[in-house]
Amino acid sequence: MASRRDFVAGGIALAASAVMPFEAAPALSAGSSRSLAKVHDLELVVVVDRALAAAAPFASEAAARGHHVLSFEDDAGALWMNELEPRLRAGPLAIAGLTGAAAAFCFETLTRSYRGHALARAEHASLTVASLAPLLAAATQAEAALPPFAHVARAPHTAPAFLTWLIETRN
Amino acid sequence: MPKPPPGIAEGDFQAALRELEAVVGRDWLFKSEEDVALYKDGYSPLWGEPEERVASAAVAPNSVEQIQAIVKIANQRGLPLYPISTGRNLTYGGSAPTYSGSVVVDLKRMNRILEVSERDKTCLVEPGVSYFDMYRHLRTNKIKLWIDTADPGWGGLMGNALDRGGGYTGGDFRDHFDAHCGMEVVLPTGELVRTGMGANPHAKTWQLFKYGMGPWVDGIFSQSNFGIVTKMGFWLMEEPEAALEVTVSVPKRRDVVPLVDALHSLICAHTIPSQTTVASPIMNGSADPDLVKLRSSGGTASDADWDRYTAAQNRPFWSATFVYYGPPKVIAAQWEHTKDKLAGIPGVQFRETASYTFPLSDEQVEAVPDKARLGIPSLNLFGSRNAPGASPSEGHIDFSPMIAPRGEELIALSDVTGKVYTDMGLTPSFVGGLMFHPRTMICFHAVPTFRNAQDNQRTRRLFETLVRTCSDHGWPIYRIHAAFQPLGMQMFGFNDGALHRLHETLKDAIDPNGILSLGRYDIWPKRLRASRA
Repeated sequence: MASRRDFVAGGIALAASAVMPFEAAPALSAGSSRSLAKVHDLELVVVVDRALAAAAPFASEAAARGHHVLSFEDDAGALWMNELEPRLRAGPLAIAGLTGAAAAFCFETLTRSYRGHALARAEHASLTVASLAPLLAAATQAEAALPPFAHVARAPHTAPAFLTWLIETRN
Repeated sequence: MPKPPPGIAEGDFQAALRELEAVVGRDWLFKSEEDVALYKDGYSPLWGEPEERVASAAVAPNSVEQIQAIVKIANQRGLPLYPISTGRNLTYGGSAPTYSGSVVVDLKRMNRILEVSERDKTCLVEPGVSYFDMYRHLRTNKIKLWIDTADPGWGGLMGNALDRGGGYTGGDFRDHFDAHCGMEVVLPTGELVRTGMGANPHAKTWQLFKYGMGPWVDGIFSQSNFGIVTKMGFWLMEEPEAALEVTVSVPKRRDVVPLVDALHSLICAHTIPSQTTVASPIMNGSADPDLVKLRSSGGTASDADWDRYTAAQNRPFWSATFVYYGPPKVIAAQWEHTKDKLAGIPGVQFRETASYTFPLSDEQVEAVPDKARLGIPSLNLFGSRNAPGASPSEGHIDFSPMIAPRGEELIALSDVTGKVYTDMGLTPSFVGGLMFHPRTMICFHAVPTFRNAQDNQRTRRLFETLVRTCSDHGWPIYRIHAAFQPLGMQMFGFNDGALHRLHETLKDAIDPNGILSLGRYDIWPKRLRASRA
């Protein structure tokens, strides 16, 4: 497990390997009032679970791009309570994350109170690196929100080691 | 676009939505398919099936007056409403309405902490105040009071109390409905009432004395559909000087009888103040073939069979975990007295697992492994399943039978429910007994839910069989997922369902047009009753 010091130092060398494709957002249904993604117009906050080895390079990339990076380890509760929710109360945000499946589910559920919609989501196998750039590209090209994350009842052998995701809040 | 409520034409529904929008403003009426999808029950045992409960729209008022205006529109147009506070109690139905087509009244914007009195140890909150909100408020303002949080801590004080949820700290606080004091309610007619001392406009004791004058009506607003609660008072626990978390372990299966008897006695005498969990390190063990064989015996494995297996594992059969709160000298005396009471069980072991002196620093708070026992809301329940390489968490609904606090009952329930699982070709689930309330144990089973109909049909069969079987044995549940509330109420059918008839008599009087939370706990308005029979 990576320590906080490891996380700050960043740059853990990992072997790159295949990433499961980003989930495709469904086409707009007739009469939908949704406009195209506003990700570029919103402040982007990046959230990582520093217990995951892939978190450090992802966070480094985000910081290099000038985004604010927040981290937690396993339990996202304190980060939500002390950092993220106060920011959301000040106005809409885009939130990108590199977390485990359960934390991704938690963030999607919590951000519902701020009209949060997942615009991009990708699953990654163990010992891979994940980049922010394709996540942002997928989110900005999204034409609609993704359906709620269906991590429930996944057999252990099909579980991803971690996910990258992007949620846009609108209230 | 989402479908309008049954019986309401599309044009009339759109007109109603325009009226709702005029009340709350454009940003707070949600009618697009993707916005309405945010109110789905993520753990629904009916996921994707025609019977899955879905909303038609949602509206988020910001004041009592806006709620009254929404209720007025609903009465005029026959629009079914379904109020939620945070809507995150996923194992009991989440934010999805009990009646498809309802407009969710999302009270998330009403998240004001109206008052906290450190001197009186009370608070008054709106429906959208979460455990996170209240904890943050107390800590930021250095108020030496604790909340009693549910676990996970993403729910809210009011919603959890109204659903009669429980927590983990002192005995006066962890029955969340019992810890409330005073309500303000918008009735389905739009009339605003305050209960208890709050009915006196000048009373300084609304959050101090529950009853006021005349019949005490607060109970009818819990697990019901008789009003939209807009304010609720709570008693808060004074931060103790210290806390000591301990574990008591006993080696043999039948040792649970004297263990629970002693714990019950100590709880009722206020020696043990906290929620007490009685679990089995053996039965919660891994998928060892010998263990699977014992657990799948359908109750035919003897105590001797279990004890032989346990002895080989070098682990105790039962362990009980609880916390003392107070001055260190008092804690030490309580712990010594507890050990004296339990010393007669051969092989009993006592362990101090954590001790704390308050207040805690931020770093100390983060390091607390079992936060709920110190009134700290967390998502650790998810985090513990989230470690790299761990199995993913599953959706589930809670099956929560309530038993008398007796070890024999815990063993019997384990055997009986084990047989239900085994008869259906499933591996039995066992958790143990949690003493949220001082005189009962709740024995949660997490019954998994899925995103496919075939597996969910099996889950529903399992859940219904568990409910009926446990009820037949005298272990009815205390709370139930929205999809199973008609079944749950059937289990409380004394005198041909007299209690249910009383609920519906109240419904007719309080909600004559039948607009609020239709079907919640199987309480239906007159016009829909025949079709639900």
